[in-house]
Amino acid sequence: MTESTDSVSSSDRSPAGPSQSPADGSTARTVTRARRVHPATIVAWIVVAVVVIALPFQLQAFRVNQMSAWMTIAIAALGLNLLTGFNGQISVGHGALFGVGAYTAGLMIIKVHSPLLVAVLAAGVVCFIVGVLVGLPALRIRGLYLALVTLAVATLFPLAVEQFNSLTGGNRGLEIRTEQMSSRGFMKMLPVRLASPFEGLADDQWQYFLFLAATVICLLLTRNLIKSRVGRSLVAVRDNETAAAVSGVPVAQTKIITFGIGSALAGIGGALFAIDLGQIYPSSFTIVISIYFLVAVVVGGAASTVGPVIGAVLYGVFSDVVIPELPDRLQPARAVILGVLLIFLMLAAPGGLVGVFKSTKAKMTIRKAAKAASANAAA
Amino acid sequence: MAQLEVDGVGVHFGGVVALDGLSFTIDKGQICALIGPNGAGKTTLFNVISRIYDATTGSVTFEGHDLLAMAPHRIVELGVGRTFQNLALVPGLSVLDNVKIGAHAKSKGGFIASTLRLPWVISEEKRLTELAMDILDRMSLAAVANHPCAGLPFGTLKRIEFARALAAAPKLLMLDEPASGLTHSEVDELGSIIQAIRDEFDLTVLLVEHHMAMVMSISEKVVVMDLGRKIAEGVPEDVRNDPLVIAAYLGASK
Ligand SMILES: Nc1ncnc2c1ncn2[C@@H]1O[C@H](COP(=O)(O)OP(=O)(O)OP(=O)(O)O)[C@@H](O)[C@H]1O
Ligand SMILES: [Mg+2]
Repeated sequence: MTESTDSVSSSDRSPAGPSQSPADGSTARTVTRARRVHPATIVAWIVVAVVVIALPFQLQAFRVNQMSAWMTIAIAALGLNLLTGFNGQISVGHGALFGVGAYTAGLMIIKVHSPLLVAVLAAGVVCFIVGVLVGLPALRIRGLYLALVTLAVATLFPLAVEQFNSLTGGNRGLEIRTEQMSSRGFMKMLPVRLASPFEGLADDQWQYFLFLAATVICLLLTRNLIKSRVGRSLVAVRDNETAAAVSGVPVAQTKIITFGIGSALAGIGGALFAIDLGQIYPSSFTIVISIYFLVAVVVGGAASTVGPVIGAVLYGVFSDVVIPELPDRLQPARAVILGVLLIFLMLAAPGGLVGVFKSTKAKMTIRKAAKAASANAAA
Repeated sequence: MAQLEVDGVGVHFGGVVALDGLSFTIDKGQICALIGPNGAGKTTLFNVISRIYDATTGSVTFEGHDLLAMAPHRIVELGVGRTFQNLALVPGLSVLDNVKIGAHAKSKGGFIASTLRLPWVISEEKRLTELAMDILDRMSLAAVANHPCAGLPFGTLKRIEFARALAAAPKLLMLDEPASGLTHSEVDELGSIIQAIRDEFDLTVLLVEHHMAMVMSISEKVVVMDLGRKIAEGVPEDVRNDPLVIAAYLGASK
């Protein structure tokens, strides 16, 4: 009852002034109807695609494996972004769900010899359910209190894994080896025998492309969701629950399902992570990994579609490529270096890297419009 | 039978009695004004009808449905739309998307279909864009369609909310001080927009407004409130001359 329901952030409430709208309504209309993709964007995506496909053929196997790991983080970060960036539910417990996914897939592969795809999807389903359960308190609490609940989950998960050591192997870890990870092994599982172009791929390359496919699929599916009617309702619930409810959005249901989906993505990422490492320990899933996801989301740009992927890759580059290159003297300070970098980045680009890109684009559009306007005035 | 029946509704916040056994009815197609001094409880009634506040006593019935038994998001589904006195927009969405979300209850596409972007999801989205653009056009807001809500003038934001409420194709539209933040000529224009929209879409309108000229010129029925109670009800001319009403307004204007 303390919250004024009629409220909107005061920034929205500027004193009535002259309308700032462009003179001609019809131009806005065409802009809306035909939002064309800029050629530069298409070129950029093609370049990215070429690089991403070429890299595993240029780099050593251990690098390719590292990149595969970045992709598993990226998938989990996509889920966290949906939850925190778009739906405004803060979770610092996403690492636990990543862990649940990892152990689910690991156990499926070891105990029932399930095919990879089945194990990964099962991890997604299990994490959806766990996520819904973790998300239930979110109906009553929000903001920092919700963060605390998820913090508790993050802290408890490694302890729970140790507790059930007969199943999980406890601190000795869980070893996941499957011949499916080799291209030949995978082909053997297919019902039809194909002369496959993949046959020549080394295991690390094969895995890289498998993970790449998973990442692209997850990215496209979350993008679909974000750009839909449901995506709008997620943002409405985040920004103004009253506005959402009077528009017909079932607020509680939306929050819970989003918690489930965000967790399912973490689970899928975790499952792939387990497959990538081949060996998982409770200590792989501490609060540190939850923070890793948050950093990926924030650096890339919260509430942007590809931001989390960019953030995850950058973090990976930083911790796996840059840090090992630093002189030994600086090694103990790597957390500090990361922290300082993060602070600078947040000061320079509060909207994350995608935010920088967007505002540059907006500035260019405005400049172009201004130029056109002055040209018009001169004529 | 009346379309909306407010019967003995009471709401209190701690010691403050915001609504005190308020009763009135509105017939289908009417423009009914709800007026009263500041703090009379007008906004509180809107919040009870939208299920934002719980009523302590009484009932609200819309076309036979007991609204107070409904979840908040079902209200608009049943055909009751509203705007807010101090705005409740979604700052993170563009003007167009703010209007599109108004049609949430009257559109389809859940999590699974949206994630898979099924063909009918795409055409539904197109339909919503067309619908929202038509409404924005009508409210002379098309030029700001792709603008973020933040940074627009208050009067414009109020019109965006109006547009959002219309997107739900409501049967009953509740407007909380739609004229605030508008210039004189815009107020006149708003009055005729409300009438035109009522006629075209066969709406019922419940209007809370302090702008008396507009209230008196467009409403068919006026309910006057003070201190959470109804003190008068009738056609504009009668209400205007009611001694209780005059006293309430004089007493309230300090
Ligand atoms: N959430 C709340 N918590 C406590 N008191 C409230 C709350 N909402 C409204 N009130 C109180 O209820 C009474 C009625 O308020 P309400 O906003 O309904 O008046 P109103 O008729 O809309 O006035 P105005 O014309 O100023 O908008 C006031 O005394 C107000 O202080
Ligand atoms: Mg009010």
